[in-house]
Amino acid sequence: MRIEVLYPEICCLFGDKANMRYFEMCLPDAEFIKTPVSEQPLFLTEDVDMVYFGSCSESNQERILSRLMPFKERVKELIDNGVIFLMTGNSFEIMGNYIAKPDGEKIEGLGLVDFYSERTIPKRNNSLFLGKFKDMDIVGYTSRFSNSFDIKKEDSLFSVTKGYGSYIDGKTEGIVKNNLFGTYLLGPFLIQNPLFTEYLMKLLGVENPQLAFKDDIMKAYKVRLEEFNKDIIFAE
Amino acid sequence: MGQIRYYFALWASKAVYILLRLLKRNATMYPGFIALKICPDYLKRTKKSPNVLCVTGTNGKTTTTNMVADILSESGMKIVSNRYGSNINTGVATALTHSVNIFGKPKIDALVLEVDERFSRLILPFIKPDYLIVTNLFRDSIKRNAHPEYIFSILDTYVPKETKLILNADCLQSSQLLKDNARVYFGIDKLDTDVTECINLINDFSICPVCDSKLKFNYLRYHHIGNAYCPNCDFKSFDANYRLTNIDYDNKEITVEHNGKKDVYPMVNRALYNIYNELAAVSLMSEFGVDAEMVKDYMSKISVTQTRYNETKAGKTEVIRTMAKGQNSVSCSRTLDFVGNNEKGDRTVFIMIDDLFERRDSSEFMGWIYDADFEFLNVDGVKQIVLAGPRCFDYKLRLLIAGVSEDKILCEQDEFKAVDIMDKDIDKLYLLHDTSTYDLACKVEEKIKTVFSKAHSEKAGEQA
Repeated sequence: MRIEVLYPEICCLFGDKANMRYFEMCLPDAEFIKTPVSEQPLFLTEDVDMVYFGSCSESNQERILSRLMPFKERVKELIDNGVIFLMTGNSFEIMGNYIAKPDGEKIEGLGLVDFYSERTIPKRNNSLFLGKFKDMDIVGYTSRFSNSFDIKKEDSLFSVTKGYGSYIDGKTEGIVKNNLFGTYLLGPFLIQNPLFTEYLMKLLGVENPQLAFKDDIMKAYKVRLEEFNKDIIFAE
Repeated sequence: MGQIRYYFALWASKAVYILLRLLKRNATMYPGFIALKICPDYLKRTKKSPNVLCVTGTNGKTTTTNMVADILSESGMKIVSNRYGSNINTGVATALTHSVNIFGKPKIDALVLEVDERFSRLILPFIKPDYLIVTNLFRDSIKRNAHPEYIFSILDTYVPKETKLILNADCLQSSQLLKDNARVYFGIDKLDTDVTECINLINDFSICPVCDSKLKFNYLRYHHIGNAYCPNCDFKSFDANYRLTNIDYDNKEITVEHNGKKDVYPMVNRALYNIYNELAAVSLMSEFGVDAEMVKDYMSKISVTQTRYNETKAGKTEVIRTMAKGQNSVSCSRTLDFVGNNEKGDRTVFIMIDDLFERRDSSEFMGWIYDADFEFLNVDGVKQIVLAGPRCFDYKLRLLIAGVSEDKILCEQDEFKAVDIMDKDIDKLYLLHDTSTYDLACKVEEKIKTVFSKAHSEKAGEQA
């Protein structure tokens, strides 16, 4: 099993790096390849089972977009073939049609999922999140300088119970297309959502997924879930 | 009309200050708040003091500002500083109120201000500092500061062109600021403890800003603090004008070289990040023309503020209370490095760095703990780690992922109960707290003193 972590030296804000670090502990036999921004992605020439992108600054988002633009057909092919893409934080915005800057300039996206994003700098959008994916409760946190719009229902990843969706009042959060999962939730998303992590492991073909530190991770998940179900402040 | 409004704001601000003092209330922010409410361009309209010196950056602002303010006071200058107040626009406005008389005329020799880096856009263009220290730029609270590039862009846009910068040559991020401004750099020469590959979880300046190549480091201290060059283009770190050439831990001295002249200063605190703060203050004082002997004399007399670091005894146990700013992964990592790697002997680490405000009515974002180097606590000398507070289960998971053995970890949501059940037969205890949990940490420290003293005397009684 091969998992490519793209541009970890710049797509690593807000604790996102922890996702693949923990995933490696859950999948000790898998091969994790970390590709820096100065190199071509491995997926261009070889088969991979999963690709991960983490959060990045706005300028680095444009940097990775320009890197990947020449290969968008290959990215499309991988998505169509069911390769898993996990994109946390603002990284999934590159998959849309465009990202609009506050001055009106539009940065062309890869256009592989039909939606667009708008930056809100200097307004930071911070919110806790409680939602559903299939029958799983999803918990997390978003903090971003942007929102995404016009995501079709069938392309939406989570339903929102509390907190911000893809835009402030959105009822859905993130994007999904085949096995591409993109969410504004950031930081240790897989650590905070052990059920989703198990789901990913099964998608990767692991028959009997064994989460690392299962008891402790489930305890922390349950404590957070109980807290999020109480009447607490989700967004200021 | 605007000027009348200004005077009205000034008088109201002064009156509110007097009133709050009479009521024995904190008067560091509200007088400025009133002034800005009445006169939104209050900062711009206040007549500039003869000298305006500011300090900004992610970490070290308060310590550095206090040093600068105290040295100038000792030198006989009449100064106003926001040292006990807020470092955002309202706190600065309060300081400005104190800097002028009721007719709006400056009545001091120098204004020394700590300026919040994110709020700097509302402050620096109007008060136009003569000198500005930028201590460093790192990741900080995700909610407020987003990421270092964002803060960099604010400073790069809003620092006035006429301000002379005192920059950290070793901070790859902040050293790139405002290349057209007059500037001097300070830096610490290669140390024995330096490395060439980053051992920290985060390094926010690892690729060349010109050609994206991976940077190489002549030496790397922590995160993106070091001396780098690009193997594929001309990009490289700036040379320091104020070079710290030697750190003598035994005699508690540092040697600073400037223009070929070496001066030896007393070391205020042995933590490297505080040595950087001292070097920044020394550099600014030299630029400002303060006699080096006076700076040395002052440095021999001070210690880092007790809210950030305190040593005490609890029975036979030495208790070191130190700040490990929550939500600030680099500041926290510096403390973890200090406790885990610099300190020696068997020790217990008591961690209570939950955000006090978030825990009351919300839930803290815990992503930052995965940017902080908790791995530094995975050393033999650290015998027990007590995790206290509502988020202790998240911390436990973090430590397990860092490779810490589960039997070293004690997890308890109630800080005071944690004191009761922890091991008391220990030589050293490091109590790590957040800014927001300072008061709580002091109470926990008091309980530690009581409980440990009792346990130790009972044990001594049994042995007798």
